Amino acid sequence: MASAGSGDEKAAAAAMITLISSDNEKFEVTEATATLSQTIRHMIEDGCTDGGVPLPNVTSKILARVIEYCKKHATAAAGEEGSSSSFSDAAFLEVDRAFLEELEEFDDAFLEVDRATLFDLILAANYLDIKGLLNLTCQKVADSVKGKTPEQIREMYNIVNDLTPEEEAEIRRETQWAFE
Amino acid sequence: MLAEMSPPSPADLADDDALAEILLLLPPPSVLRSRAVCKRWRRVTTCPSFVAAYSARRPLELLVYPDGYKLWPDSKNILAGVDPLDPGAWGYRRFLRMDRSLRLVDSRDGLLLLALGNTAFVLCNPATRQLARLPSPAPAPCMRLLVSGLYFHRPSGEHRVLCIGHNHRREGGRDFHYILSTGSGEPRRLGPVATATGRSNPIPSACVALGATLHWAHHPEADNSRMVAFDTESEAFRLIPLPPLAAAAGGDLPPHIRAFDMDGTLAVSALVQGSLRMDVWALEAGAGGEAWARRLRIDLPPRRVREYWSSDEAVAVVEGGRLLVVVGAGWVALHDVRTGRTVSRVDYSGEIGNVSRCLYRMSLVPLPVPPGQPPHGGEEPSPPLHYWSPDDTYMSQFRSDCGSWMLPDIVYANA
Repeated sequence: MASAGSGDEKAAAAAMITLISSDNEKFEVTEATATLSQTIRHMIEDGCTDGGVPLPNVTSKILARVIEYCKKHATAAAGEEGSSSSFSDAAFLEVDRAFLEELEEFDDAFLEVDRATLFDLILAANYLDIKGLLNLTCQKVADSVKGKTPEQIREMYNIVNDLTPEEEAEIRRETQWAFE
Repeated sequence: MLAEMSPPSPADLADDDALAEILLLLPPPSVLRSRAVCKRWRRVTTCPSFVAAYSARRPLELLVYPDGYKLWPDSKNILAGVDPLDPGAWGYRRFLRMDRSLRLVDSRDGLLLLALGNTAFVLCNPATRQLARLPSPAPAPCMRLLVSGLYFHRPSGEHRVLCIGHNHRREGGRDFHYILSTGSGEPRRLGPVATATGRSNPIPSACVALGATLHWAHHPEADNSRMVAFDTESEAFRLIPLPPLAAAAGGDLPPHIRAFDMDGTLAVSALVQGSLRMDVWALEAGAGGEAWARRLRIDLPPRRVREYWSSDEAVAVVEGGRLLVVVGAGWVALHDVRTGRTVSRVDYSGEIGNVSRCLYRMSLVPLPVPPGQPPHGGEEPSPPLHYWSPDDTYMSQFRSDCGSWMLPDIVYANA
């Protein structure tokens, strides 16, 4: 790592960004935290973050959780950049295991939310384009759907079956084995 | 936003993208079942962009025969996938077990093209377990079919097979190119196969698809200085120059070359026989049009057994184009694309009988399912296949090509 580069990084890390939720609450975060969101990263690159970033799709309750996630994972990302990113490197294999475990525990605890919050987090992660958070939250829903029959899924998530009997029969016929 | 009384559901995810993000994480059987939940879930999971994203997120696998390739009567060949990036190497994921009458001849878009004997082809998607039989050209009894390549024909939206009909008796023994389609179309005969003399390799080599063009390092339509491309939209051949390989010195074997897709660029790996060195050439766009540039020179492992004809080949790049996958006799290596340095090498020769050079990425690409179910099948018995579940648990049922279910034959169950 060039020393000039790390100097720049420090300067960037110190820069603060203001995020404004739909209910007009302001959150001050470091640029390193905010740029976990690709949407915000692009805004910063385009230089349109002065005066704060309004996020009309995200409530303060959800934004607080999203920021909590980004803070934790921004630290992790900084650690990874410090070592070589090439997966062949021995350094990569010796990434602080304790820290990875801590991150995993954080993620598990982070997912201990009610279903409505979980879906709001998915929508926020999708809108803000935060890959890790989107994957984490979607995986939780996917795990609940995996292995279930269509009837069980409808019941679990209160979905109305609007397929005609003919359509449903056609879907089942295409890949009959998956329904047995 | 949410009704007071009803519990929230993924149906409340206003955004189809968000719903797709969830369903993209499911294994194939769960995705297929989710299509029967409601109209919206079916629309999201059958949309072409979902199907493309689903495949793009699965690992690229090398197809292997764990038990080797068996030729004797009643033998069954198991086809499996190896992920070159899998840190827990040695493992493989079994897809299917097939009768000796079937053999893998090409793989593209998550579909396996299987030759049934020498006269017919079957397309199989092991993830959706759909099978489609391709029509055979008319004078079947005296014709041997040789695959050129499997491709997606964008104008019709169907998969097609370009092949050579090797004619023993008719037409004065001339061979023709044919196009076979998974749609309702009849086999179509293109022009005759070039009959230039002095060519050493009349059999098409591995087919590489880049965009809408197929490429072969060796093909009957090639000449001494050019390789063959096939435009899948106009369905016509054209010739492109070969990389400027050092001509083999008098009496030496020509370099072993193989075309592959290097992150969207046509590339060729060239192995000079007798040397332990491989060059990788890429067809790069420049000021004066496209030109071959040598991208990489890599050192190959020393041979434990003397090989008269080495067949080491670069087959793909992975990790966003950073790592080159090189396959040799039973081993798979990863090389850093910038430096050529060996990153990993796994010797599968003790575990896997045969490493094919075909690549596979799990996909939900649909195959046409024949309407209705013929009560007693067709004239010919269906190709016997066994599938394994995506997490490789033995499945005891297999499907016939006419869309009906059969109980597993005791022979297969015990094979």
